[in-house]
Amino acid sequence: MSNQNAGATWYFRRGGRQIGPLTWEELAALSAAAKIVPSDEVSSDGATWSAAAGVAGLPFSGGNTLDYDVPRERPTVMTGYACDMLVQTSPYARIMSVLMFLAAGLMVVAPLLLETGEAAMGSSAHGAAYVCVSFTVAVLYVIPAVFLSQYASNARRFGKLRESRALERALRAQKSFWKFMAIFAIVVVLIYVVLIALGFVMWSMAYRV
Amino acid sequence: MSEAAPTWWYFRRANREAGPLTWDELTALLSASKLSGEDEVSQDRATWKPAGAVQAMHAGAGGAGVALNYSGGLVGPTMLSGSAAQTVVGMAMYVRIMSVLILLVAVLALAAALLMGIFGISEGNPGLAAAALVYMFLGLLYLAPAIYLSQCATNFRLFGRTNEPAFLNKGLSAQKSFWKYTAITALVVIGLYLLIIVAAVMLGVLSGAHMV
Repeated sequence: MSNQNAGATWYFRRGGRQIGPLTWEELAALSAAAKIVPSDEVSSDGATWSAAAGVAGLPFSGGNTLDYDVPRERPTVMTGYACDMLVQTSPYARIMSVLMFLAAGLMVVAPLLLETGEAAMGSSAHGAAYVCVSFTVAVLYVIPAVFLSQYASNARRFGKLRESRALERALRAQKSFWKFMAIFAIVVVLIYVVLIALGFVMWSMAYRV
Repeated sequence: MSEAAPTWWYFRRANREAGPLTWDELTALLSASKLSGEDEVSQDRATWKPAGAVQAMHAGAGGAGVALNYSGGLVGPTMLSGSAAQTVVGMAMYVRIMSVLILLVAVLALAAALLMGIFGISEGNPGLAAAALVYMFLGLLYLAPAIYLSQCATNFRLFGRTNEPAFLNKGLSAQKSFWKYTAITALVVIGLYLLIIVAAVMLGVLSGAHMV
């Protein structure tokens, strides 16, 4: 019952161009991505060639059209499990992006309400600077929320339609999210370190006097 | 057998076929009882045998270390384009930075909890001891996402180095755990805040009515 196809090394050729050796997974991923079609030739020894259609277990998705590029290199395989893991993240990422949007909205609305309330009572303690700061913080919340929202949408789209473009967009949005978060976090940590250092310097100077 | 000899598996139920799946995925389906003994499985889509036979194999292999939480839509593999693969690998560094920072927060909170606990108990200060519990809870809350992100970063980096699909599987699985944990925790915390606010308002209204 063992699958001879899976253990073997595979080669693929079309129009004088040949790639290989490939593993069975790589061959399967190429046929699933419509880079190999049933009329192409494959071989498990590089000597005897037969139509890919005759190889049991290849998940063809592209029909038998030749309107596609010949693969030039070994493919990078993303298993069905990996696809599912990515797609299933979508609802959770969506929840987090909505929460971040809400937090940004609160940052804008709360100080405005506070300001107008205080102005109505004739005592504006915080002033425009306070509102400016909260607006800046709100923008800092909105940027990652947008990345996360793009990720959630594209991951969902990839799950439904298996579009490689949606997959690429989802991954790029996720990368942008982490890049923004990492740089932002490092900047915040640096600001804290500088503030603590300044505080320490001022404290020691005050003591010396 | 799972990673040494990767072979594809298929299963079918009432004329509907799914696959290809790796051995890990197939056995995960069996563990999660998503496959019944009446379903049929095959390696070549030509000869089929009842899933029960594979189940016996699976049990004989002692579970083969499979602990995947598989509840997915059962699809075949796809090809990751070069730029998409680079995006995954490029993400690893930023994810690593965040995991380290979150771990730092968790460690600081746990250290604070330890100090507060020691002082609270030695000085007989119940308030400080209670604060220690809160900080311990916060520290533990931050520990899990830091670990998930660290797993994610490690596996994405290894995927970049080896091009091995198994590392992408593990990295994306850790990433899913991170987002699931974060979203659920965020909702629970917000729910708790709302409850506290509602309780405070109710108390305020009650005491107000009492004063009148």
